[in-house]
Amino acid sequence: MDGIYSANGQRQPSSDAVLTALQSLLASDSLRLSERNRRFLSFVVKQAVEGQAERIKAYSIGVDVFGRDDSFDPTLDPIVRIEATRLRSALTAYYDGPGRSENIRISIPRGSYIPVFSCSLQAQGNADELCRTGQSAACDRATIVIHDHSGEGDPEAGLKSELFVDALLVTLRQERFRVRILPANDRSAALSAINALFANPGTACSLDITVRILNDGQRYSWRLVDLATSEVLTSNFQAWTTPTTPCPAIVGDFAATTARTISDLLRAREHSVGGRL
Amino acid sequence: MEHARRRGLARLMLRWPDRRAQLRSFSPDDPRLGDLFEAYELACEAAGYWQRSDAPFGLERAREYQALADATEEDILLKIS
Repeated sequence: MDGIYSANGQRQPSSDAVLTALQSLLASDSLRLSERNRRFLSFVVKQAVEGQAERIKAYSIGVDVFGRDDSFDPTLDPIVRIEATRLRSALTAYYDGPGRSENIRISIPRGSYIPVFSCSLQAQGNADELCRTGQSAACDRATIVIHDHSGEGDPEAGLKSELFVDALLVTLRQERFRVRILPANDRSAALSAINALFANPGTACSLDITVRILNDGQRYSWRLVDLATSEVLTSNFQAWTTPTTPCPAIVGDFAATTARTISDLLRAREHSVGGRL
Repeated sequence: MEHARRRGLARLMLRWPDRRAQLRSFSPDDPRLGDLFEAYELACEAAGYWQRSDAPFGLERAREYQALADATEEDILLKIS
């Protein structure tokens, strides 16, 4: 059975590929997960693959996976919410570590228990075989190279921009982009890899960010540049005055808005040109 | 949600005084740990709720949540070690 399993309209791996990935994941000793949470993962993946995503609710998980009875009330008995957090954390740790080379990745985005399946961003060579044709594939999203122009000569701006970059990393990866950061000169291997990307950009974009400390506040700005054409695709900025100096949550919100803006723009662009970006 | 994260982190610092300095270096909104802080707090609160409950399965549920809080605590300590 092939189809779209996630709500975001992205092209998905085939059912067989997902189920094989699930079996591989469940059999892995490297996945730090209780037996109960392995059943949780298995339940939501199988429901999604079988086209029963609407059944994936706290109530059905509580009853079918955690053995609660009909009176199960997730507000008094938050077992599903807690275990979902631990499951997400375990999956992230697995794919960041021993499962780094897995072709198909299973994740459960926050705010939902419906799993999302994507082709590994590091398995481009196998992706065409594993993905079915569709509107836009998670495995086809552009590479974003973050280039931070803030830090030199201004340690405070450097610290603030580090916070902004951290938040962007999380949110851009949630939008399924491949993300790289232009490294310091002493990391020559990484720098060479990115210079090669600049020389032959393909679908890559540069996200140039700057944080400036002003007399009366701070200004966070970014520009998205198509590395193939140098065209500035979009840009934005936000300034905060000193009394409302941004806390991590506000910077996180700005990063999330930035990632969504970039994602929407690249998706629209990709549709308008009928190709990939 | 933010309060739960903050309380979860504070509770961990109380439980693990020898790791307090290390825990203090994390924000309650840390992208890697914030949700686990919240889950930990939820598990501890649920354990307390069911401990006080007069439901027939209250104690059993309280033990389940205490075990879950311990497991979540272990997840967090493993991540920061």
